[in-house]
Amino acid sequence: MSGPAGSPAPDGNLEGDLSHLPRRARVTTLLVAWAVLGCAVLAAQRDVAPALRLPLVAYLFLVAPGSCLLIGPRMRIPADRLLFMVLVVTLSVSVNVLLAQLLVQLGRLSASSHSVGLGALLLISSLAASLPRRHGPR
Amino acid sequence: MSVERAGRSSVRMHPKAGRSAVRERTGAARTIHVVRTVRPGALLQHAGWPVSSLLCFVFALAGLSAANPSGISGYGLVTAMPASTLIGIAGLVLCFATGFVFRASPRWLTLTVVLMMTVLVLAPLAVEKEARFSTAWLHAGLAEYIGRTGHVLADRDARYSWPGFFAAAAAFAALGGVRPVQLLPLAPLVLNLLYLLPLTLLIRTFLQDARLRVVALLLWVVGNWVGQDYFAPQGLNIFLYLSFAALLLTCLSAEPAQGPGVRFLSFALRLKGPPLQLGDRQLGARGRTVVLVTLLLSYGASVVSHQLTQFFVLLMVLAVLVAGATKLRSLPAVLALLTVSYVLWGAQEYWIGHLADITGGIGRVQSSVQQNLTSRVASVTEPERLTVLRTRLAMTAALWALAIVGLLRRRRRAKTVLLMLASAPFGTLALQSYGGEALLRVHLASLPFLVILAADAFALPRATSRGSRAVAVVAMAAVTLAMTLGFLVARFGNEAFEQMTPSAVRGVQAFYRLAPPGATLFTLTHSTPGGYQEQESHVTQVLRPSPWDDYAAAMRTLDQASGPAYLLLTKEQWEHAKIQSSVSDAEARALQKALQARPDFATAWTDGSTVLLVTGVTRTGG
Repeated sequence: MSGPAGSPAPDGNLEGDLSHLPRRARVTTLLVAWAVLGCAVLAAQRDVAPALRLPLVAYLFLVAPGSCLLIGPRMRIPADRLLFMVLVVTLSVSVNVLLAQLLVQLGRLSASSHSVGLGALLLISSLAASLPRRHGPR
Repeated sequence: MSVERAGRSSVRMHPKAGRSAVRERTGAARTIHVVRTVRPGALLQHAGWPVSSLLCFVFALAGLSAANPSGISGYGLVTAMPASTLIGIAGLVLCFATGFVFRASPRWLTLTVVLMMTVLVLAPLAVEKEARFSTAWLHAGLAEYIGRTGHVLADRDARYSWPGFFAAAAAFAALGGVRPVQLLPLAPLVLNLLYLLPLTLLIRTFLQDARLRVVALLLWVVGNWVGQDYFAPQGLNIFLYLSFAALLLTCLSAEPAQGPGVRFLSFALRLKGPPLQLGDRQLGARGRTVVLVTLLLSYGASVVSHQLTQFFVLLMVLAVLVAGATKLRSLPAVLALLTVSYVLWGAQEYWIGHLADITGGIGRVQSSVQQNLTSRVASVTEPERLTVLRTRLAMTAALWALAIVGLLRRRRRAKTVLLMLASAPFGTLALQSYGGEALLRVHLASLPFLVILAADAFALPRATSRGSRAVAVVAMAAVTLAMTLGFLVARFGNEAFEQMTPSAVRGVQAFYRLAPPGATLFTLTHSTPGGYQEQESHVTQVLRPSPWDDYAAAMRTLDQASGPAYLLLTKEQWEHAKIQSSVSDAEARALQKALQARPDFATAWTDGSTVLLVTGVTRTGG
């Protein structure tokens, strides 16, 4: 379990270069970076060597959420790293399935519409996460 | 000495100090001294476990590359696995047992389990060279059609009414520049690695002992003989189910579990101790909201991609509510609303024609159990097949027995919640027999909770002598080895007809190359890699009645096909016929000879093992 935001983690690990930022800003930075990177990769997909496309997409949808752990924020909940990982991967998989389903219902499933939709969803959610709000009762 | 700076923190590595870290805070600036000494003895002690495990892993994998697929028998893959692979797997088991008893680092024990899982999951691919299981190939066809057209063929296959997984797979494949069928080989490994994430979170929520947590993980790996972790909606939905359970129990179950279910079970089983309190009160309102939204999204993804998993989730939530572990009393209603809404809107093509199929099984528990259990075993006469089925039953019974032992060894009141969660999936038997497969899925849905209960059966006493440790290693290794062998037989016992040989794949490829649009590929059994592309123009179907049941009627079916009809004859189809319909070797050979000799059939393609016949040659004039 980690310490409060801004303090070193009890196990002595470093939090990375983003550690001076508030936790919410770190989450937002991470998600926006992920979304922008995703959109850029997907937009340039045709120019990528065929052998690299699948590893790249696998990285984007599976490894990247997992690797958020390496630079991601510490959450003040038990098993924080693992929980964060499960949250992000579940979110990623669920959004993928739901978006693909929606596009099929609309009869418009294609790789480009899926990637644009996914990128937009990620951007919206990451920007929404950065909106200032009052802390609820603890 | 190294110094790293991160904001106002600095970390110094001192070469002479011990293994622990020392932190100092000096005013605004923080200095962390991380001091480590590496002793050769300690290094050997710590490196011993992973090095041994890695060696066994490499040994097992190296053996697999030399395996001969023709060795697959009625007992399945295990008879085709070379001795070196079996020794490697046994070595991994022994590494785990020794490491567990001698208190190796849980990290290395986890590595051993992951390596073992990798060998077990990759074994069929390494031996057979092609992705196994005909249904996976059919699913690739569903994804291929959706990816190519953006639409579904709802009137062709019920699975098109829950297309979430296929659509996502199609988008994933298109983005990666591959065909969905190319995702098949590695799907089991990717899915199994994915499962470990939520499963680990779930296990650590319930078990305090870090080594027992790894035992639970190992029991999951060897207890999951149901084999739903392939390119299939249920494969992904197991991940969603585990994630839902992990997040619900970790974050949203902060109430002391003292519901009526817990009180009754505690009284009946004489369990003591304080009530279970999971979750985290520190999470805060916003954190809980984030988790709840994730839960609803994952349930939504499950609703649109698989018919059955959502009911397991619903039953799990009900069990948590009855246990009194959460205050989310409206959650089941919201989830049920999502399910009903989707069925009414998204799956109307299916339910309009099949309302009786959907609702016909409600309340018929006895018939459901009979379809799932009694008739499956009673109808089998082949001794090898019978052994496989009995092994499956024995594996399931063993896990429940271990769970009971674990429960009795540590009589904690908190375990009632696990017992309720493990029993909740049985509720689906009252809804549907699911084509005789509901009990398999029930076992799978119970398994995550069962293995946590069962792990306690392996708890070691705090102080042990050298002799008792040796006994513990032997006992642990014996149980784990028996379960691993049981897993190989139970899980891959159908490989004789579930393998897809390269020859059969080439036969189906020849069909797609040679057959005009509108053609039908007839097969003798389901055991064929057909249907992986062009589902709208090329139909794959099993020849009914079978030629061994009624030869003349089977030929009439071929004759009456609406378009050009092709018949595929493969080795694994005959194996399937032998096991499923007791067709003898002599009968199989005679039938194949008769079919190939028919004047109205012509050989369109063959490689000596697989034969693709085009039928109605005289009718169509060639």
